[in-house]
Amino acid sequence: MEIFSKDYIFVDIDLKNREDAMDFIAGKANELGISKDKKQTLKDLWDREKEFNTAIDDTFAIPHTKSQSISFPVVMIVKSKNVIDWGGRNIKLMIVFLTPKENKENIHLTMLSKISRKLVDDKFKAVLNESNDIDVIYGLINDALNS
Amino acid sequence: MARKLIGLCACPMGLAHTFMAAEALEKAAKEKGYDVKVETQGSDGIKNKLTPEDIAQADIIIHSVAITPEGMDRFEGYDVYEVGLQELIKNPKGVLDEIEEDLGFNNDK
Repeated sequence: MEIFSKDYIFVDIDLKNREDAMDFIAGKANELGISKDKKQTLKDLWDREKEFNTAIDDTFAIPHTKSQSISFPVVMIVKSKNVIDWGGRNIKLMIVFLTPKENKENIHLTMLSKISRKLVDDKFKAVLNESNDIDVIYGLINDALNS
Repeated sequence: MARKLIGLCACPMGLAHTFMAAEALEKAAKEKGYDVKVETQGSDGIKNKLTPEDIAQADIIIHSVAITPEGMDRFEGYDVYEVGLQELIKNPKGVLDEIEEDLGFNNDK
């Protein structure tokens, strides 16, 4: 039931494209017990993506969903080994937000919102983009969550 | 006295774009010397709610929303600039430059 942990950080992942990345995300969410239903999570992530490409320029993407399949709110960090095409954008970094459909834990959502706020900070983005060190990424995100 | 800029940000999930846009707007507006307040209607509820006084005193009102937010009647009768969330996140300074240009704020500096 953790909002974030080192287990939610994936670096140097061999992903070919956005389809691959979305499948990876939903699969890991399921393995980690965050998602009760991989298929549903994947569908809900795609629904959001089709509505509104979540890539922010050529820097990163923020695939996210509020889904019935999600048990508790989390942030996951996924870094692709190679640049992938994200609906016309070229990105390597994904910041993934997964939250349940009904959520009573507002405090966790407020914590997650702090990461979103950090994502407009150039220094924060630069470290997140450049580092593949799990401890560094963990520290950065954890500080943001508790800021 | 500093000019007052207020904003309202909201997106479907209310977690990612809402707060990125709010932060981008707050930063850019502060850099330009504005007194700034941005309301977010996110998944954690309404934060930093704009009061009728805030709205009445504002020199610039910006809406950056991808859903229909609550309390839109507050803004009736006021000029509101509507800006896309993506645009505000990517280029907050450019958005403000354009609005200032439109309002003629640059002439009296």
